[in-house]
Amino acid sequence: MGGLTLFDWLPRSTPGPLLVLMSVALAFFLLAGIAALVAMGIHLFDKWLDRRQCRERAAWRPRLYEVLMQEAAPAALIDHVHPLRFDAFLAFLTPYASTIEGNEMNHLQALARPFLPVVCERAKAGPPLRRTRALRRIGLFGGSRHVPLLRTILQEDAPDLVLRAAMRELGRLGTAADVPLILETIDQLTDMDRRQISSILYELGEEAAPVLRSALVNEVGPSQERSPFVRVVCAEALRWLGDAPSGPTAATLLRTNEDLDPEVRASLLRLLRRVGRPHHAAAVRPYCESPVAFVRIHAARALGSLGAARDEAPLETRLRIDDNRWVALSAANALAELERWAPLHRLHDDSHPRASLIAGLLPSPE
Amino acid sequence: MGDALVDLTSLNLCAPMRDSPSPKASILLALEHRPSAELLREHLRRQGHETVHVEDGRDAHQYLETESPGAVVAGTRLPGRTGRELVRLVPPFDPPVVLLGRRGNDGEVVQALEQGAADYITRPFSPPVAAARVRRVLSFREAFPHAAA
Amino acid sequence: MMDTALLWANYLVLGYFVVLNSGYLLMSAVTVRSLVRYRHLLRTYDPDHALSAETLPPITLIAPAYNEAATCVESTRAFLSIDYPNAEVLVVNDGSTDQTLEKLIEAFELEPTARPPTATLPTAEVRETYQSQVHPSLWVIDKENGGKADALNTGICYCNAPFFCAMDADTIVEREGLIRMVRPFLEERSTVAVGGIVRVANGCTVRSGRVRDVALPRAWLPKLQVLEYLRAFFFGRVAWDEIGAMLIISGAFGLFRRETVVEVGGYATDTVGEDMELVVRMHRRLLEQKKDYHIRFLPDPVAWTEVPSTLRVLRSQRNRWQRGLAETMVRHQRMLFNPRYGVVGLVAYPFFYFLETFGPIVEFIGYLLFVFALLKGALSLPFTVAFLLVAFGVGTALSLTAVVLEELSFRRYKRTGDLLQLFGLPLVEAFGYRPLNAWWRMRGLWSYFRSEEGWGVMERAGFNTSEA
Repeated sequence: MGGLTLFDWLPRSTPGPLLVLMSVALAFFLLAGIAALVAMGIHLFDKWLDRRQCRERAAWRPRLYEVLMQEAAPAALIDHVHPLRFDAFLAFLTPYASTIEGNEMNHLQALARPFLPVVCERAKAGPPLRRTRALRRIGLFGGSRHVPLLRTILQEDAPDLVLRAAMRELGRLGTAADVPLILETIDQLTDMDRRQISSILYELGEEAAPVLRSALVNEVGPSQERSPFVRVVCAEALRWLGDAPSGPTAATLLRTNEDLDPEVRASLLRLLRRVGRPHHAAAVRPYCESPVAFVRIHAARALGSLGAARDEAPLETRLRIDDNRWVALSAANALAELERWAPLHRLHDDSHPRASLIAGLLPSPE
Repeated sequence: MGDALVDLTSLNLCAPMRDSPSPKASILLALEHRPSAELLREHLRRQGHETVHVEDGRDAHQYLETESPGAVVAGTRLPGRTGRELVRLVPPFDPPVVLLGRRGNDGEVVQALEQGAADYITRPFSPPVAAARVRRVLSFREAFPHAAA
Repeated sequence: MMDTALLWANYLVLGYFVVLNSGYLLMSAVTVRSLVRYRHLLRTYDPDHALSAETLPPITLIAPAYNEAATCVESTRAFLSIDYPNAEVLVVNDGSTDQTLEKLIEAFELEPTARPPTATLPTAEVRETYQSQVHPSLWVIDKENGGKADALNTGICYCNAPFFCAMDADTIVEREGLIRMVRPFLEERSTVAVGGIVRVANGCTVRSGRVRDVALPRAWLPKLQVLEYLRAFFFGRVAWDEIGAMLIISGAFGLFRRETVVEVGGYATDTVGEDMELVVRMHRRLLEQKKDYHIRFLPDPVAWTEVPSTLRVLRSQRNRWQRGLAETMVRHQRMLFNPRYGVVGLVAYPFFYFLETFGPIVEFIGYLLFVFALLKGALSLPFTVAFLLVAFGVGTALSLTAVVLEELSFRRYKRTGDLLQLFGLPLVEAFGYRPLNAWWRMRGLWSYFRSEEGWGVMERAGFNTSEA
């Protein structure tokens, strides 16, 4: 049974199903072999690309320094960039763009400027990921002149990924006038982490605060009710801005609005902790008894900054009997912040099971 | 508009440097973040300083044991020995260690300065301003050589 | 008579291989699809951009340490140099009997500092909590010995951040590892856990907790494990992630939402596979509560670990893994084919239960039967060829595909020589390493059934000195 005859004999003497199995397995084996060859080719090609990129960057680098330090005009470097290599060039500039600010950043942006029209085209249409990258580059190298493009993208029906990127960059480049547009977009992106969105709103600066406040109280009218999610991110952004006028707004909302979403409540309490005045404590107190644990936590924390002597007893109750340890811990911290040491000492002396919570809070004996 | 910044830095921050007697004081750049190191190096070089760049805290530590640079710029997240450790490892302000880290954590900056860092530069930074800060640290050390010890 | 029985047994084994390898083939199709998409995503996600532009949630790194005096300082330093703005490092000294705690106290100027626990998972007693005077974000918790799961639970109890990262003390995390890991949490609020890829660090040049140069190890055993890890990741985790049924997050590196882990009760201390058990339990509880959740797997290469380089250590590692797997699978058996648990119960659980857990028995007996029947002359030539093609040919092809996928997606092995070796390895692997592995795994099952206690020996050399 030599090698030559094997290939003739085997198919004829093999039962059908086994033959199918064999050919499928063999086909896959061969396919994998071919794929390996292709991958090897790609590997060598990639290595060549890497080497070329290294050479290219080595040539760009000294000129970049000269342009940044105003020893040479931007053209000195731009002239060395082949129009087809603009993508590689912008990738080369990116780490520098996220490192520097101030004057040199302006020079860096001047370097990228000739290539931005192409980037803008890419941001407008194409695969979502490519658009996302283009948008990020616009945010990094572009300026206020690109704001209309970002606004248009937010108004059209773009994929989430693109919306998210456009929103982020609008936060960087846009103005307070863009808040309503951003808030409308948020409603479509409720999967996103809250902090991310709040930071976008925060970046628009304090001019945005009045718009955020009106979104918080839901002034738009019943036809266009703001979702709890939007109100939460507005409250967060206001908190980061340290916007004092929103203190009374938050207190009023907490006092008058019976059916607020617990998430919104908690964010209002956080806001009050940051910007509230002692007389707002009255709006906070009832929430120490809220059935929702995280509302109690934030109520206790808010009392830590706004409270007074009369809050000692309710906070001590929270510390001792609340079934949630985080509430107890927040209450302990609040007491320490208010410098009401007596309840903490009592807990310590009773060797209460929760005494470990106040470790480090009590002032040292001497 | 842009020139105002340059004027300001050369007037306020670099003023004591003009009659600085030893422009050649070398500076150790212990930074893993290459763009930061490159940009600082270019600025400091053009102002006549020699720079040595390492990307590992252990190399930085070794270098400091044999050489005595005029100042050190160290990354807060430097591997091997973090910038904070380097501050602790050298005698106070001998050489002065300037930390360089990401923006965003004020508490960390305050603590680092309290614990003996000569300065703290946050990224993103303006390279000329950052270089001027490093040079200021150098010049103070030269002006008051015994003050720190 | 006996020959017929042998033949039928071999047919059964062949059937097993057909099912197993078809499963992997299907998964490879899923993997290719998701990797194509992912490669683009990788290019558009710039960690530096994320770090500078976004507000990132705090993360606590929990690293249990037991008798690691030789390496604990270096590895703690490595954690401190991970680039993430508000990461806290909690080293949990699990009642070490050597100088682990003393070394840490000395290197980082630790001072006893009170720290209130924030959760009450039952753990062994905590002796003292220390804070570093050099790095205020470094804490060391000294506790009585209780095992790795117990140490992790202690860390969770002292974690203040919404997320914690559980890791082995000797895992090397890339500088941007955390920021990459946190992305799924930012994009999808209902994400509760993210597992990362763990790669073989042997052979790489590691200095100060950074992988400076990626190369294949020279020794055979680690080399074969490189291939094995690649296969596990490309034909397992990526595909399971794609269909939403990730059952494994490696204990060497995983990021979790603290609240959810506390709710399900933390790590189980009565199993050697606490990492897998936790993830399966999270699936089970969250599905029972009908909650919307995501457990994700991130294919970016973000963490590296030293793998065993001697047969003895490797054997005991595999033994432990198999026992852990079996314990978990049996404990949550009610999920098996239970439509209540959706795709986890109907697809992933059966796959792990029959093929991964109890498969090695069939596989090993299959190898034996095949050789025995071959020697006895009970097998026809067509059958022999078919068996070889399906069991070894397709297995080899799958391994080859894993290498191809690695080269097309992440390209970590830059040397052409290394790549050539990787392409050659599947041929070697099929005839020695895989049967051996099946044998060890079967032994692991055996010791599970005899409920052998105690942990395997895992000796590590530490990363202080780089392998040349």
